[in-house]
Formats: sequence, C-alpha cells, structure tokens
Amino acid sequence: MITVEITTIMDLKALMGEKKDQTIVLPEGAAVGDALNQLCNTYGPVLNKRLFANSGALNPGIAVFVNGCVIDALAGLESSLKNGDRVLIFPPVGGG
Amino acid sequence: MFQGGYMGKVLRVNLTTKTVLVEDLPEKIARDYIGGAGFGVKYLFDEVPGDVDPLGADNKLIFAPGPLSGTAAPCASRIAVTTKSPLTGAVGMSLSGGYFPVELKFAGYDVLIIEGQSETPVYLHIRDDKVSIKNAEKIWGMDTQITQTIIKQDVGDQNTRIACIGQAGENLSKMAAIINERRAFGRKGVGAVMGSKNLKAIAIRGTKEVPIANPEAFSAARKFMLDAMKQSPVLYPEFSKLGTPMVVDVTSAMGMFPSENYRNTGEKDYSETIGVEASLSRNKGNEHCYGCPVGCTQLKLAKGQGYEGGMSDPEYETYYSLGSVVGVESVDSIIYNDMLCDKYGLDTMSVGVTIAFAMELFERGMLSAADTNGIDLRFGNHQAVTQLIEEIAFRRAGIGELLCDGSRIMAEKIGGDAGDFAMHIKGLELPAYDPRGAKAHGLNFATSYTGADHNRGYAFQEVFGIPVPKAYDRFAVAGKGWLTKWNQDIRCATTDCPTMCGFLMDMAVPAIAEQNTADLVSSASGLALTKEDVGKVGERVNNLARVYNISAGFTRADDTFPKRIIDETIKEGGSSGQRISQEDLDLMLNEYYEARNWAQDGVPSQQKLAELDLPEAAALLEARGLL
Repeated sequence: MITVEITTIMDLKALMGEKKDQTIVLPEGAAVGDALNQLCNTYGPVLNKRLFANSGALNPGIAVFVNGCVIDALAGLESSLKNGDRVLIFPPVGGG
Repeated sequence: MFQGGYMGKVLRVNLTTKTVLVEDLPEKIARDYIGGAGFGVKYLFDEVPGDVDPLGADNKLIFAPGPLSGTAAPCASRIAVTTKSPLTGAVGMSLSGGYFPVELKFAGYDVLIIEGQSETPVYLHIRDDKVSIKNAEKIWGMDTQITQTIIKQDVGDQNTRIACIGQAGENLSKMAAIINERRAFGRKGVGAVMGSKNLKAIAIRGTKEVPIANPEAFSAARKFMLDAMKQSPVLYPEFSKLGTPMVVDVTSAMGMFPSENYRNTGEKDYSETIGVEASLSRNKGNEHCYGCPVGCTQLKLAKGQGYEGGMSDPEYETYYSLGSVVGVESVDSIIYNDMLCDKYGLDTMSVGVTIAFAMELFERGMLSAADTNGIDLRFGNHQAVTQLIEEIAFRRAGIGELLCDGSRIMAEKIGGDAGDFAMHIKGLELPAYDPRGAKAHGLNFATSYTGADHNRGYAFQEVFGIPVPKAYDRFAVAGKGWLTKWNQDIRCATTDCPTMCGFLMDMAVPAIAEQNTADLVSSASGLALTKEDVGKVGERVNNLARVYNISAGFTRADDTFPKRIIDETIKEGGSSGQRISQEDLDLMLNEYYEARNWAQDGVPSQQKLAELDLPEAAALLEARGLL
C-alpha cells in the first residue's frame, strides 16, 4: 500500500469534508484516477460531478498536480503514484 | 481613412508651449501595432530617445486605448500609458481599466501624447474637440479622490472621467501611480512622469460614437466572444464573486506565494488568514469596468484593528505586497493600506516590496531605529506599513526619502550588501509569484520589456495548469524559453494592443485568442487582419521595445533575477527544493533568445527585424555597431 497526501482549495475543500489537507491510502501501482475515485467514494456523488464529466474525463478547468507537475504534462489520470506523493487538486481558477 | 474602430486622430498637447495639435493616425501604424501598448511603444521609440531623463521635459506620456475600446466588444475598456520609466529607465507601459479608457475614444482620439513641462500646476480638460490646459494650483497637494471630485465641479460635469496623480506623483516618487476613479495605471512610476510635467490630471468627456466597419461581422465576433465567456469554467460565477483574491489560495497551495521578502516562501500558509475566505468576509459587492459583464473588482470594507471605515478593492497582488511579503496577516490592514496607496497615488506592489526590503534590512541590523524615524520595521507590523506609506507619499526626510524611489535606488543609497536583498528586476519590484516555483512565469519577469512584470507574459500554464498551447511542468527549465516568447507575444497581441482585459485571454479564449482578436479588430476597423497578422503584432512590439531598451543601456546582464532567487532554495511547501541557479537561468535565456531569433547577447537579429518590418530598429542597432 502507498500513502498519498491530498490538498485542495476553495469549493473543492468544502466538498471534501472541509479538509484542505488529508492523507489517503491506495494500493501499490495506483494512478491519479484511482486517488480521485477513492475521494469520490468517500465524499459522494456531488464531488464526483464536480470533478468528472460524463465521459470520465476531468471537467474543464479542474487541474491536478502531482508533486507540483500538472498531470497533463505526465500521463493524465493514468499518471502513476508512489508512496509519499503530494497531489494538489484545483477547481477552475484564474486572475492574478 | 478608417472605416471604424479607430477615430483616426492623435491629440498632441505640449505643456511647455501650451499648444494643442490634432494629427491623423497613420493607417500603417494601426495595422502594424493595433493600438494600446503597440501605439505606445511605437510613438515612444520614434519620439523619445533612450537616453532622455525620464523626469525631464523630453520624456512623453502616451495614452492609447485600442480599436475595440468604446465599441460593444466585451471587456475592452482598457488604455495603456507608455513613457520612459523613471523607476526602471526602460519602457514604462502600464494599463488601466474602468471608464476613463473609453472616454478618450468618445472624445474622438486614438492616442493622447503629452509633451514638455508646465512651469505651474495644470490639468488638461478634453471635451470632444475642445481641449484646454487649465490652472491646477488650487488642487495641487490634494489626494486623488478629492482631486476628481473638485475637477468634476470645476468643469461642471459629473460625468467627466478623470485620471490624476496624488501627492506621491507631485513629490516625484518613482513608485507613483496615475489613478482613475479607484483604478490605476499602477506600475513603473508613470505618476512621477506626470508630476514632473506639473500635470495634476486629465479630465475627459466625449460624446461621439465609435463607428463599426462591418456591423454584421462584428456582431458575430462579439457573440462568439460572449459565448466563449459563458462557457468558461471560471468567469461565472466564481470570478464575479471572488475576483483575483482567489489566487492567494492557488499560489499558497503551490508553495509560491512569496512571504517576508522571499526569505521564507512556502513556510507559512497565508491563505488561512488573508486568503479568499478572509477577503470574502469583508466583501460589499463588485464593480464592473465599462462594457464588462463579469465585474471582478471586489469592494471590501475593513472591520477592525483600528482600520474601521477603510474601503478599497485590493487585488491579488496587493494581498502579497501589503500582506505576505511584509509578513502581514491582517486583511483589514491590507484593505486600509490599499486605500491609502490609491488615495496618495502609489503602486501598492512596488511600495510593499520596497517596505519588505527595508524590513529585512532592519531585522538584519542594516537599518537602525534612527534610520527608520523610530518606526519598528519588523515583519508583520502592519501599523508600520501604514506609517511608511505616508512617509513615502510625502517624501519625508529620513525613511520616506530612503524608500520613495523604490528598491533599486534604496539599495544604491545604502550600499554594501544591501542590494542582495532587493527584490526587483531592472528596477521593477517582483509581482506575487515566487519565480522559483514557476520557471516560465519567472523567465517572463526576467525578460519582459518593462522589468519584473507578470502581465507582459503571464504563464497560465504553470499557475493554473491550463494546457494551452500544451501542458508544462512548472518546475522544469527546458522549453521555458520558447513558452515565454509565446506567452509574451500572444499577451501583447491579444490583450495589450486591441485593448482587451487579460483575464479573458486566460479564462475564455486562450486557444483561439489570435483568431478572436483578428475577427473583432477586423470587423470593427475594416483592416482585414489575419490571425497571423495579429501574432506578428505581438512579436513586433516586443522586438521594438527590446531595441528601445538596448538604446537605454540594457543588456543580457539585466535579464536576470535577484540574488536570493538564484542562490537560495525554497525550503518548505509545494515548491520546496526549488531555485533557479545561474546555470538554469542561462539555459532558459539561451533558449529564449534562440526562439526570438536574437543573438546570444540578447540583441535582435537583422533577419528578425526585417521580417517584422522594423527598419528603424535595425538602423538604431547598426548606428551603435550592434548589428
């Protein structure tokens, strides 16, 4: 099993039990998609609808980073995770 | 003769001779530079030599909205002011929004050029074709809000739109801004240039309409833009409701929200105290610029800690500059101090970063209580920030005089190793992103023609994870030279020149920004620009500005970072372990110059300047033996 740190912000935090940071445990060989699915199983369909389109792809504007790198620059939802990885999940954001 | 979009006129006002001229806007300039920053850089290059004194009579202020300003195109009420910056010595270009930008178009002008210096305080009053230079002695010394109130009474028209300076501009602080209503041409000391000309304000009222060349095509292009905005996952309702302060939570989670003069970025989570929830708790509503359906400006009312009654609209950058970078965790003090900066006419960003520099020197024992007029300059002391804003605005002897011209000059005054802790590039203080956590965003700071300016090439790929033109690892170095060129050119061509709000490029049309701009500008003006033409405008402006800066004495050595960014590693948080070594910087710069077809000393090539039809730039470099 591997342990992964999950961080999120803004409305996604509210959908994940108001926890900005949390740790989840996943099987060896798990990918980013597995981590997100586990969070959806824990927090229910509202989170699932916020994160995923009907096609199974991430909704527009949802950004996921593993150890700082956006997963689109890795292997998307198939990006593999290892023990101690830090996963950051953003709702759509902009400005600045 | 223009069919639409442009009013076809340049208004030239000389404050030395008190003369007013109206010239035709050449179609070639419109086609090659579109408007806004493009017009500004072109007129600056042609009319203000690189070696002039920025605060002397030979510098000029060039105000230019774009062909979309004043039309029904959404979010196009933007105007650029371009000058030789007294803060940097480079091109100083700053954009503002609100209602002032469209008023210049309604008065019948695409460009307003202010020349010379008045011997006594004056303000400029433009009412359509009637242009007057009026006595401003009775308002000299007043803040920006009272100035606007009095001028409206003076001209007998409450609908007059005004851009003015406060006491900071009068006192020639190189961090002085030009304020219009509550908005600002904030950066690069443009307010000091206005002060040096004894020009207190520009008041405009126009009654003309901006013609549209092809109404049917324009309507279709406008509808496409509005539909793209509706489909944006961010604009409605989040951006209307939260505005830019949401980015505090974003960059904090990424470990790149700079704190305490960048000495401990990532070590404290400022989103807990000055993040979006805290800022929302002070919300009193939002404001729109002319023609904007979004309304991202968030009005805040301070509640406690002695700041009751403070009302302002701090943006993301100000939560950094008057918050984290000075170690302040009081959202009320940020609102209040933002209000003070607007009132006195100061750039919140440069002011906060310069105060952070002073705080670090104070804590290191390099500034004493005697140097600070007795102010306790420890990080986190928000009352000290309030005091220093006043000291700076009035250029008071001692600490005010020391800080009021920004970090670079302050470091020079102190001498020794002080400059090692000064967080600026080319004299412009860093924006609210630690470059070590976003390398292309940082490379843009290092290479932007205005100094450390996030808005000249915003790397939304790194900050928001938007995969356009493709996804990038924010920590990687390879590929960032190419990406920075792409970001700078598209930002310039699609937002700074037309002129259009930069947020829409990031949040609504990043993938088709050039086509969208071409469709809107072409249908409005009849100029028939292709998306390739638009792309080339961005490249042309960045190249011409580069050559201007070379003429002002800048070299590759100025495309760099503060020492701390190169030498020190972020220790904690989402960007822990990151720095930009000199080797990393050299790799990125080499790639950036190659992408731009510039020589490795940062000088544009003959081939590139010919391709962009910039013979005047090539001639300047040839005359200096650089081509």
